[in-house]
Amino acid sequence: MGFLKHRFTIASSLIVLFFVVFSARLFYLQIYKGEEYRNFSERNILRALELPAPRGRVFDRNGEKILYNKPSFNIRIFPREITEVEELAEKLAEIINAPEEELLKKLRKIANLKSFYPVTIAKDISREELLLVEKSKEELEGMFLEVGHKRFYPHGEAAAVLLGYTGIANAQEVRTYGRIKAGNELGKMGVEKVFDSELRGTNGLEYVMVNAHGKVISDSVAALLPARKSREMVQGEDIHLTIDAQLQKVAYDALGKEKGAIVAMDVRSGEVLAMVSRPSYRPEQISKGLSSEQKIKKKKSFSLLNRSTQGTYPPGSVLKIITAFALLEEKTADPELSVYCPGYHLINKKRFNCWREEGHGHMNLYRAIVESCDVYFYKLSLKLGVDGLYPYLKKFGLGERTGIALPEKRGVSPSKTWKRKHLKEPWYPGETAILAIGQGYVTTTPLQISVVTSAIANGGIIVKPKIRKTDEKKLPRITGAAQRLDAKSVSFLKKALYGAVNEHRGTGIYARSKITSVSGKTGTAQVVSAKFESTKKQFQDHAWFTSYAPSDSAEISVTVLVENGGSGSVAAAPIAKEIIETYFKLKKERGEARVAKSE
Amino acid sequence: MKLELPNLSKYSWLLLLTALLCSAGLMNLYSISLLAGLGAFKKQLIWVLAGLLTVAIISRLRPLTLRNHSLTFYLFFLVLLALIFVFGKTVSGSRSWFQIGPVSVQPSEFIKIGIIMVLANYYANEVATKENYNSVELLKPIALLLVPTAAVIAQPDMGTAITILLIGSSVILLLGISRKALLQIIIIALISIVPVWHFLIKDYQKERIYSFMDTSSDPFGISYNSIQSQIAIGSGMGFGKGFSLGSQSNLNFLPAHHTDFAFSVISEEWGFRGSVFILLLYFSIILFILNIATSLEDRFATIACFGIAAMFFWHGVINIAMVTGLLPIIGTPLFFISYGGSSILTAFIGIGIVLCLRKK
Repeated sequence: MGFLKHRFTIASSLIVLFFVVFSARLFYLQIYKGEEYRNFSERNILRALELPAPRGRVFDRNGEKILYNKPSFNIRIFPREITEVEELAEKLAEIINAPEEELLKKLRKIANLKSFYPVTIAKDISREELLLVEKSKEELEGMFLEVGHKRFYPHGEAAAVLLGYTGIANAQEVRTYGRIKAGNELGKMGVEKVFDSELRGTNGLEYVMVNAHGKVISDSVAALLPARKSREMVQGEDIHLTIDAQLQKVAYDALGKEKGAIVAMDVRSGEVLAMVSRPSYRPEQISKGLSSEQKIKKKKSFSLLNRSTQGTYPPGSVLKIITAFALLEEKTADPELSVYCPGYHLINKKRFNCWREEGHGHMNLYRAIVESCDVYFYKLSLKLGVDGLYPYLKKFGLGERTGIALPEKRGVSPSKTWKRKHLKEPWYPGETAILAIGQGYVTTTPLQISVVTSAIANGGIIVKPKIRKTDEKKLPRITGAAQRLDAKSVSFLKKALYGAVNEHRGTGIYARSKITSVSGKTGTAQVVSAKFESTKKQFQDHAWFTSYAPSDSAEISVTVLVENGGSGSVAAAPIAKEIIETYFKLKKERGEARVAKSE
Repeated sequence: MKLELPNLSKYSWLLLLTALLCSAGLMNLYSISLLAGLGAFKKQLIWVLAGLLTVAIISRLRPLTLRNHSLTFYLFFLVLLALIFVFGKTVSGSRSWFQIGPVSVQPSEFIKIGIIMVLANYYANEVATKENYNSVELLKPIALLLVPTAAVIAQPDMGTAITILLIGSSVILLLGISRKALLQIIIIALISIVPVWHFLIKDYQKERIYSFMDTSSDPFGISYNSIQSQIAIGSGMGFGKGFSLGSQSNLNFLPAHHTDFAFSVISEEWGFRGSVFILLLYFSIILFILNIATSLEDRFATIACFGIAAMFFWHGVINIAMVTGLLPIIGTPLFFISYGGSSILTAFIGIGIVLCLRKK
């Protein structure tokens, strides 16, 4: 029986061997790899849920809310909790306003994600839908309601282009901005985009305990487990704009159905009081989703574009302000020098027309501005030359961004160098002549023109336009790298611009106001060559009017551009007048209100 | 192997270790029950009490009675195995259960005892000095083993079938196989591998085997259980997460945490100290039974005790290898630790038989 004893010994050894092997395995898993598995198990149960931070509010200069949040309800679902896709789609179709097949498709996609994180299935549901969801909560497996924040724009279309909109960050934006994650809300346009880092705030992070399906489990269970620090949600900062919401609204309405842009600015500080761009869009359209954003872009001739800063147009006669300034500064000719306007001027046998076919007769610089005589400027600009004019275009900031905190186009400030570089052609004298009256290669944004006018109005200071009110208590003051223009030339132009509105044969007479004194300059910019006769709207001239008031101690400048509006004096000047008058009416009302309050 | 045990007899030690392991198992179930309700814990408590009663009854029997009734015991459960195909209840794809009122009975657990008994009876009748058996002599024990195994495979319950096969083979190997017979068995086994793989092994079982080969390929699919179990065990680290604080098990990451993966829960909540302690208890019980087997003079008693030791051994080895990721998930309970009436009762019957056979 010795052999049996021997076999028993082998069996015992096997038992001990296995004990050792298993102990070693447990040592490996629990001691050697323990830390790693512990981390893994915590990731297994702890899920960081983001609590979207409400974005900051936006106020106008008087403290009126022009952009804020309203609560919105989103239906979210845990992909792993979905078992019966068809059944769920059927139930959901009874609740939310969407076709069943579409929901089924959506749910199938979500279910296939197998993600542990909840996915939004319906955004911003209506009150009726909300009630239905609350009622049948039990039947909707894996679903829950999330209280979110949706942006609300009380002034709708009037300020939509300026304020911009938000959207879900795409992959590229995540890479660019770093601080955000895919799926986060992000300012995409306008004020929302420019001040996004402040408006956005910090999403809260809540660590929740979840089961193997990713479903959040009850607090009583979570209480059993060690707590994890959550990140506090930080609401976005509020922003105060320099915009006057009421003036903005009046300005938007004043444009009527026309396409165009309006910039109203405090000439002393460069604070933008109103900035309008038409066509606009209804903000609710955007918040519904990205596809509508694209639709609007396509359909409504770039209504997402802020024409005040991103639209570039030939300035037309408005540019004569700069040409005149250059003529004065360069002492090209005595301002009193009389130049005869027969209605045209020949340069190298080529005929250059004045806008007034029958001609202006004898013109000096002052009259040439008041009546906007083209021939005067043709003739003298040839003496000045493009090299003499170009530095003044620069000085007034054309061809450069004004520095406002909004997306901006530079426009074109042409010179010999510019033409050689871009068109590989020499400069022709005729081009100097048409540049002098704001035609040809030169293009500007309405905001740039607004800065030019404000500089004349405030006595020669090129202001940096501001959209954000940084310190409310401080009085408007000229800030930034301001550049002072020659006082003598400025005061000459001030007189001339006053004359353009208030004198007989002035082109800006339709801006003349009984409330205040207005100075201004019209512009009628050709879109196509004058030879091309057409009644089609898109070939009509752009109408400009840039102005300020009161003429002697200016406060506000208003620049109006009506795309294809025709004559500046007819289409644009009355709009500017309306805005200027509104400004002073509002000022008076508010002043009275303040007095009444203090009494 | 001699063990010096102060004061207590090795039988008392066996009972003491069993009681300790049993308590640990109950405590573990209670720990899980805090969240899942006390149902499983209460049921298991009843099963333990029933088991202790069984031990008391069996240990009072005469060894000869046990031996004389070994075939009856074997045949009784064999018939039950057959009846399962008519009256059985299907749980997760396997038809392995009888539902009698609130109680589920799994005959494939009890048949293990039957096989051990009939094999011990068969070999006890042979000459004691015979070192190896040839293929003709092995026909009967192999048939006694293969018939119930085939029935279990047909349920299909691969895990239990493998355990049964290993337990029976251990007994057959102990008594010896001639070199020629071993060769013949190996050849037959090799030939039958292809038809068995094609016709007997279900797709889900094949998947489990594949998943074991590469556990990282699909963490949420077939090897999910194995990975979650290893996370549970590993995350216990040295001292565990604390009683009832096993997040893996309590939050449903660990499947079947009260049955096949109960050891993982202990490891998660009590850490390395707990898991090794349970391991030590369990393997000590095996060693004690083996020690008792060698000390008995009766040949039937020795072989039967060895069979019981083999049963404990293979259950332990397969279950722990499975939950620690050393073997694919084949579903074998760990005696006294895993929830389940049939398995715990089978274990108690085993202990009862060992205690009974100590008598001359």
